[in-house]
Amino acid sequence: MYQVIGRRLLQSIPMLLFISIVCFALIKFAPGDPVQSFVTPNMKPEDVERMRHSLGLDQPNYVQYFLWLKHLLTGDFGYSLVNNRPVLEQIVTRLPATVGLMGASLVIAVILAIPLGMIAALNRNRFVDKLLNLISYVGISIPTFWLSILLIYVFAVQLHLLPSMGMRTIGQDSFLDIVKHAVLPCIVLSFSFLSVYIRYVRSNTIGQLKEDYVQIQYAFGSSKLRILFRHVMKNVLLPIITLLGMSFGDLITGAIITETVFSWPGLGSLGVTAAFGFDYPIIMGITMFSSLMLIVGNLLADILYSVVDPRIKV
Amino acid sequence: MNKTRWKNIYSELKSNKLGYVSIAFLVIFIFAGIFAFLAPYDPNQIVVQDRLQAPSGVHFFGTDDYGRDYFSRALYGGRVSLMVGFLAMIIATGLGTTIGTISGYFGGLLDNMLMRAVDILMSIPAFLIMLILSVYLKPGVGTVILIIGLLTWMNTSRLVRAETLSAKEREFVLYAKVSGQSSFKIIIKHIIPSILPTVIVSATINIASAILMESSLSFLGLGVQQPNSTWGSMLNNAQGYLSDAPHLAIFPGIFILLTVLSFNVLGDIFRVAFEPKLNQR
Amino acid sequence: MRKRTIFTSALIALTLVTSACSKQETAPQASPAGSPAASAAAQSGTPKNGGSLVMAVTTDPEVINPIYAGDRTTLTIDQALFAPLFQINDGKKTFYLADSLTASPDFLTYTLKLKNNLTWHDGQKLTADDVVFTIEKILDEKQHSFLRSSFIIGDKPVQVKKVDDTTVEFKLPQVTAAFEGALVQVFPIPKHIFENEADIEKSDKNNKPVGSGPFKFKEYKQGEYVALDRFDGYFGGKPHLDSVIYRVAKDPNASNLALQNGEINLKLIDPQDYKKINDTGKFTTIPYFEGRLAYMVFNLNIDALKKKEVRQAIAYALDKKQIIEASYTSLDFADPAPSILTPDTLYQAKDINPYNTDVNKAKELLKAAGADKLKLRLAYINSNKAQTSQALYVQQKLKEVGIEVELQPLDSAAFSKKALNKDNKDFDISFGGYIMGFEPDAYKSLYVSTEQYNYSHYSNKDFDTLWNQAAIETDTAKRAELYKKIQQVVADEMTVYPIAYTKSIIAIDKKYDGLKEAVTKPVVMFEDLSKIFIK
Repeated sequence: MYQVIGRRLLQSIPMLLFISIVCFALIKFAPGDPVQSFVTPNMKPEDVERMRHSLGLDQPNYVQYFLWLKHLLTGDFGYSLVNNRPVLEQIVTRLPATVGLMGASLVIAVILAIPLGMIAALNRNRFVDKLLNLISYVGISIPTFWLSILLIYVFAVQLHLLPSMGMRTIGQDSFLDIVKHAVLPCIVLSFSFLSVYIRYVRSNTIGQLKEDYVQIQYAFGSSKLRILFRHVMKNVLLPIITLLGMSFGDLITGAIITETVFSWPGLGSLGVTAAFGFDYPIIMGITMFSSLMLIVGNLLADILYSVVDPRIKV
Repeated sequence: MNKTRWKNIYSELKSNKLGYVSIAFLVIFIFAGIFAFLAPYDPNQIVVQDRLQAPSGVHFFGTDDYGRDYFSRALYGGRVSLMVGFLAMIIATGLGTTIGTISGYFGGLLDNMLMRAVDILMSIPAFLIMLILSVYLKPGVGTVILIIGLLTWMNTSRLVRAETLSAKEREFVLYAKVSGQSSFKIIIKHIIPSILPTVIVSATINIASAILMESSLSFLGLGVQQPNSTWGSMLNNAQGYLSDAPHLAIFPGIFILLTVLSFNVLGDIFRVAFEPKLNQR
Repeated sequence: MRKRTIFTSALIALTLVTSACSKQETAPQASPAGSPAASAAAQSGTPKNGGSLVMAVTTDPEVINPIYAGDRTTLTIDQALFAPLFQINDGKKTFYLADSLTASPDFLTYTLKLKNNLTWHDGQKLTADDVVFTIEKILDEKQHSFLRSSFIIGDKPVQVKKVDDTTVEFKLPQVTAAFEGALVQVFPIPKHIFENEADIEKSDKNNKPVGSGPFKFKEYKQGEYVALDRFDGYFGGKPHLDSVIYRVAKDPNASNLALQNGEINLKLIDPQDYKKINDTGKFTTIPYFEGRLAYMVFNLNIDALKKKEVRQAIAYALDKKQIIEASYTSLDFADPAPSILTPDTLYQAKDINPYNTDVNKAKELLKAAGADKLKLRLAYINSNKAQTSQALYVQQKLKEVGIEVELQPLDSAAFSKKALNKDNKDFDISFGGYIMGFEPDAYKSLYVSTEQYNYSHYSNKDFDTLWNQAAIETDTAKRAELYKKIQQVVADEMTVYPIAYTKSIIAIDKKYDGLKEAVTKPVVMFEDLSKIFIK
């Protein structure tokens, strides 16, 4: 087992390297200039050149790349071109915000999807099933920024029940306060994940219910619920796990629109600002992190797969 | 596509009433797009004095923040949205199917490399690719189609590859190989027809997500530019007017919802119809 | 679990209901028609001490240090953290850290006297040493401050010397009338903090900035907010508010909602949102001139535009009032602009040819120039709402005189790149805007033929000479004449078509007062936040 994990992790290194090269090339070949974001007509060209030089932008691209790589190997992710703060510090500060929000949304979605999906499967083609079906269709068809603004408008502005933006009330540091702020963005994200997961759970459950082992258990007198929890659930979980594993990669960058609308201080909003400003150290840092998460996620999914079903070897 | 498949689709449609509704909506929207030139007003005519009027007999859907007739804009916007969805889907499905079948059929090193390349592309944050591409190419309809197509083909290629792997073990493929047909011919004449269901399902999902993605691109400022409009860009513009002119958000929002929903429903129907074993009555 | 499904379906119903209800809510309220300034006429109540002010900024700040700040957010935060030597508004000088600034009769020496007993936020004394230090660092090439070129006159740096603890002497290598314009940008930084830093911009001392402004740094939560606390030792008197907070809110629609929800108290709003915000009755709205000019510039690299009759024709074809209505919703929010200098700039001439709309004259001029079937490409920044509206209007209006306009919306990076290219032929006309301040010499970088920001690429030796002469002319009457001539030349040549002097609109919760004393200021909203209080 450990050998396999080791081998997979080793294989991921050249992949990460390749990703970094592609990413860097994309940024550098686009006609954008990081210095652009703080140039005004008051500045003379010599001043702009001096700024560019101090940021190391006047060197050829491949030199910039190798310098970045060299620093990376010593754990130095460089400094943001825009505010000169260490990239690693910015990423680490914002990581919990994004992972927390996405993680919570995914967990909520899974926790709700399993029973809801099963209920839909058990009540096939009856009203409950059709209603859940319709709602899940809406969930995968609705633009997220629209839903976000709608929720803010209804719950914050009209009903004054929840805060409309940010991660916390200023000056407060309590966990409860953060949770209150997370409710609306979580609803948006969970709703879209839930809609996808419900469909999988439902169709898998339906498939499982036809299997022989279920009929046998039924014949032995086990209650429907028992069969569900002890046997069916296991097999239903499998594809969900793969889905979750694949979502790992999206954990960091999957919520950029929601983060932007709610001003949630996560990596998504940092990434968008950095991308528009061609702030390549930050973009590279975020890409490295999210690629790593993707690889780890796939690995975890494969491992969990084999744990849940011993027949499957990693 | 043989007779049984058509029968399956038909019977599935009959049982799933939603399917009829979806087809109806799509037909309406497509016709509206084709006949958009019959619109009562010029969709780009700015009449500043008529800003933000509510729906009325004169302006069926009211006017927007420039005083332009919203109904006409919705018609032309729908045309662009559907076109973007369709063409992006063609790119995504075409590219995905090509790479997927090649990778799955030939296997070995080629397969490995292609799939690693797909993995790499999927690891780079999507918005970064979106942004770079839209900065590189001029903002506009063509760029949007290209961006969406290039971002969504990877999933299709994975699915197609998986299907190809199992399809190539089928007897008729083995016979064809033995009888000396070229790989190219085999792929086109045998593999693709047998994986067609997956491709079709994939295609409908791709259209749906293309239309959604187009509205996200508008939100980020990378979408279709004025004076052209799409439902996505109209929806994006409407956000600032939620309290004084909600109709600006409601119309494009509902149209996007219905279109995407309809494609998803159809995709499901096709999927179920092509795999009757899974969901029998 | 059922609750969720009911919840979701109820959500949609609720939205329709509440949006319908909200329309009733706002309708009966009388909107203060046509006199937005009236709602800002503050009767200063008795200032209560305490409370906080939350204002919205659209991005995280960059480096919080005034010798580097160029973006709106950082400038706004710096305005509260750091105090300037003096400020100039509408030609009037207000002294902050400085007490007086006198020039020698030959205008080659300026003496600046500081107030007594000035302190930094950490208690250390603020003296002439700090001022000298700041200027020296600005001039230091290794520190790459963009303010450097303001202090280089004729290729030689200004020399600065400490005379005593409260007196600083500047020696100019050459006479220039623009020195005050340079000095007004200086917000001193503390010597005792930065003296041993190799690169001030990269120094981590900027993470806990120490200034001399009315509010001192408390904390910065990335992506969320910057919080400042009251500085009791502020030379202008203890500020009334306890704290000021800058909330990062990227999405303008979401921040409008936050404003209505009370989570944000102060922000800049677009003209399109004015009616909605004003109708709630909860806010004081203050439109004020930003000293900004919105303009359209002709690219003289293009042959078709080399004839000035063509450019004049286009100017006659357009109607500035209509452009303003299309892009700023009403003439309350912008004034039609006859001159390239803004009203707050010295020597702005009032009697320049305004090119009153005359479609027939336009057609004649075009015919005479042999250009009656022109095709022009109009470039603008696609994320700029005002420019988008203006582009649509221009496209529509120029159809009337037979000119076909192709729109080229570009993102700001691509646009800058093309615009700054001296040989650019990718587009024919484009939009722009600038805020240059009260000193007309600052406009040089936009109009002199060899300067970087000469977007029109107009090249005329005599015109350049006018600028150089005006820079060193110390007699105000003669100077005024020179600048008048400059403005008239531009109007006649029509290389730049000035559209409007635009206003910014501040929306602030009604509970705040002292707004007049705080003085509205372009870009940073208020000049002196210490004057604001809660009623």
